[in-house]
Amino acid sequence: MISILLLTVAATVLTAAAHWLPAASWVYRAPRLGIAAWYAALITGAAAIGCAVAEVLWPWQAAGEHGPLVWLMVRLLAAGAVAVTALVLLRTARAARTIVDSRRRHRDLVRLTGRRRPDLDVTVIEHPQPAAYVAGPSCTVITSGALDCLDGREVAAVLAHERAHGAGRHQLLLDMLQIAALVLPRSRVVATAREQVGRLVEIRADEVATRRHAPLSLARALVAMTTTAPGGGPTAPAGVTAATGGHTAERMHRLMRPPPPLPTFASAVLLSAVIALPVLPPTLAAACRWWPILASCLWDLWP
Amino acid sequence: MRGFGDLESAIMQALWDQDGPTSVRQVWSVLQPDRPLAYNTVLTVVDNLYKKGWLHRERDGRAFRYWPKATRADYGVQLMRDAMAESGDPAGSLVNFVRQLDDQQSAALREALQTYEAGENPS
Repeated sequence: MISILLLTVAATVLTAAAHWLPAASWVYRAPRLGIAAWYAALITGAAAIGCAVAEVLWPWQAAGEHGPLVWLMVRLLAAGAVAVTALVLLRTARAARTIVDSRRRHRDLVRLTGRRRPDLDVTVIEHPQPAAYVAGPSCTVITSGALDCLDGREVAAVLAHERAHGAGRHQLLLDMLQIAALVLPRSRVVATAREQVGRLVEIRADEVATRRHAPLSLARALVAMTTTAPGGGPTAPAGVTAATGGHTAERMHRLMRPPPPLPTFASAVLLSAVIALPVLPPTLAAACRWWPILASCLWDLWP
Repeated sequence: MRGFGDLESAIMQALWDQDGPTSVRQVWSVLQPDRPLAYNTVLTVVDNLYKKGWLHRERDGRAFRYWPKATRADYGVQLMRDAMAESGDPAGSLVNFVRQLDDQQSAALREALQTYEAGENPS
């Protein structure tokens, strides 16, 4: 019974996040809080499902009193749950390993073949397409094409944006969602979370970069770097540009017309909610376990 | 002391900056102003780079002359392809400043910027 309640909590939280967060204006105004909210929703969902499974398996020692068939079924269910958990952990470890390995190879190649620019604290790789990215801690990369088409202030703004990604561990935040997507390839909620966190880390990095650099420099760099270089270069597949075009326009708008920051009270309330949410399912499960009366009360409230 | 990887990179840069096959002694003298290294150290690292498959070499008298197998631009293409994850999962790529857009979208973006700029200084 408690399990059904917990599964309802999971479904509600995940559905609400997928419907509400992408369009919420407070997420746009406070991107870091938005990222936290996405993580809170996913952790809450996972915790609720985990607690629901544990709740079903809990009475397995007492199951013997209900006859051998129930005893067997409960044990089979427990074995199944353990097997599924092991499989998920194995897949997670393998996916993480793949990502870590490919990142290290990439970073090594950058360090070996890229040209250091100590004045800008950046490594330059030879490519006509203007681009910049973070290849690891204190390894910011910019292409020669970007240095050719941006002026000094624009380069500084772009590098500040990239360093904000590094300082905010944005790559890790996205990698964890990538692993979640590899483990649960058909989950719509995980796919939406990935896409949205990808959008929010860019907004956040823009926000940090414009503390010290003119928004106009960043906006100009945005335009220059989305344009295809005459020297060709790897053109992103059409599906990717279609998905990112809207987000890029949004970033431009936010740079040129920044929204007012969220009032302190509103941020405090939202932050408390984000922290409290993941604690809810285990608390609920534990409370119902220790005070069975609470469980029956909750059950009576059921329509 | 700087790491071995750092020295490898400096040697690759020196070889790219030289045109054509270069002797270890030349590499050593190019590096000399920045890094007072023993000749043997440079020789060892160059040999390692050759063994790892980064360099070609040809015999020149008693010594060898080395040059990189691929240009900086070749590696640039490889790195960009990897970083932007052209083939496969786009979201699996490294977090980058902005992705390229198609001509129509980037023209729209350019126009948007002009509109904002015009709004900023009404003169």
